[in-house]
Amino acid sequence: MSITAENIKYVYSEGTPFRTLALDNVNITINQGEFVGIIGHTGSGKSTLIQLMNGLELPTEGQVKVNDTIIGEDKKKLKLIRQTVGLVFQYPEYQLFEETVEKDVAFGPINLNLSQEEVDLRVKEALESVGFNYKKIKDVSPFELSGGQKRRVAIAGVLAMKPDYLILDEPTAGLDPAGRNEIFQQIKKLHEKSNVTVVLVSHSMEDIAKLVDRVIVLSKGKIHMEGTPKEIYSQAEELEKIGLGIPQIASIVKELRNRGFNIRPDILTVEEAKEEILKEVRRRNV
Amino acid sequence: MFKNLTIGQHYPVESPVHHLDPRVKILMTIIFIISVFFIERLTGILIVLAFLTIAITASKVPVKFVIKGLRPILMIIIITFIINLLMTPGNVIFRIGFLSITEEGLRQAGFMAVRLTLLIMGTSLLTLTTSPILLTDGIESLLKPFKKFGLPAHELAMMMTIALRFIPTLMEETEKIMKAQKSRGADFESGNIVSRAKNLVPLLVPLFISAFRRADELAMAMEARCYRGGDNRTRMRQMVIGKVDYAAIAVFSVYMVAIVLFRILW
Repeated sequence: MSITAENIKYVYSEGTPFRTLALDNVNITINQGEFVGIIGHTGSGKSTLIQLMNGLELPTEGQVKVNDTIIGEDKKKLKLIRQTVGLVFQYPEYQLFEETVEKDVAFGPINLNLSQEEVDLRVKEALESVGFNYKKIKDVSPFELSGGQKRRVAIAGVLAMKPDYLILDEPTAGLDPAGRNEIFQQIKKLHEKSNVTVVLVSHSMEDIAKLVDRVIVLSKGKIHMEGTPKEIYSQAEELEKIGLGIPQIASIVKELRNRGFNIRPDILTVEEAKEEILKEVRRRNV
Repeated sequence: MFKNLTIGQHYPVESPVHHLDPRVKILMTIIFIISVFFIERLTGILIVLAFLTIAITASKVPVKFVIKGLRPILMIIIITFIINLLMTPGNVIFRIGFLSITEEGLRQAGFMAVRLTLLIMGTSLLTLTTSPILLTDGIESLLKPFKKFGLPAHELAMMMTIALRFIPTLMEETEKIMKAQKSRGADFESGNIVSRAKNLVPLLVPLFISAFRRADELAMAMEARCYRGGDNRTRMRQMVIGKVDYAAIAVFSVYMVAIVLFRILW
């Protein structure tokens, strides 16, 4: 069970002066149960790529398969694919439209023609899984909530469809650090608890480093690098070349190494760095 | 679904037609529209066609694009054709029941359809070669004389600029919200008219909210930069009539003279 993209090419506005090649010969496999990060600069093709994964766009060349169903082959299966692959867009709070939070979250499940009891159950589960008190929140108008709360409601709206794969496009864009942490913690919990496959799209390394098992780096519509966060971050120069920053701690480590500190290059967290630096300092003092 | 919209879509290439003063272009387009209704014979159509061919070639806009602009009004052309065909009295050449087609009707209908086609091609050439901003600048400048009669020329032009400026933004927004709702299983493509209209609610509510939000933000941003209407406002780009404009006016005059002459003499 996986999402696979084979030799994907995607061209915008073919035959006009605005023609752009958004994706060029991209091959990706996302296995069930994984936590994958996709990183790239603005315009690197990340958003296009994830839209290909649930059939909102069809590739110009190549094919995308979700659990062995080729997307676009059978139009009737599109709904099923969109249920299997849940996509949370950037700034998803702008898609809220109902009078109450409960009704809005129920929009997806109702579209799946589920029974009323099942819909209610899913709405409750989804709202609780993003950290809301169901009883308190259900009758509130989504437009009265704060930005971070709105976003969590919108994410719940996708979760209520019970996707096997959850793709989030910059889920923390525009949130303050507290809101950001909250969202990331909930996504992490969700992944651990329900074993849903998560694909996290971001331009910020900092966010992704601690969460994901595997990072895919996109640049100018191509896969530039792929590997575990440690493998990727130890190639700081390569990342900087394509305009991506590395986590602050990684650049400190890099600079220390340049100045002759004998520490590991693949450090991701402040704690790890602390240990390593202490070790090195002790070694020097001896 | 919004990729085929040509009306109001600027085709940005460098060409003499693009560089024309917008005022000249607008005036020429208006006179062109009148001229299209002035022609009565096949020769007239040929002259208009010749002029359009020259203009389109000079503009470097692919003919395909100009023709694409016809698609939205194809139905109007067809309806006009049918009405003219059936409603014009004269020599009956064909009859089914109470419907009769006359020689005059056929001629009239054919001419009307061709006229409309030429008219749309001519006007879409204006919008294809002029950026919306320049277009409204031109309109504002042309409306200035009417200010004496209380016409708020600048304000009108500003509203138009803003409206035009937000068409692509709102379309992008629409597409985005549509995709987001489709991801939640929404269906915008099937069902009867009633259910389709109902299905639009999840699209329209967020769209209106975002439009109002944008309007609010824009008003604030304008206020913050001390915008206060048309009085004593200067422009960064002054419109000047240059050599290209004189050349275009010359070509256009030849065309108009030809149209008038053919109408009078033949």
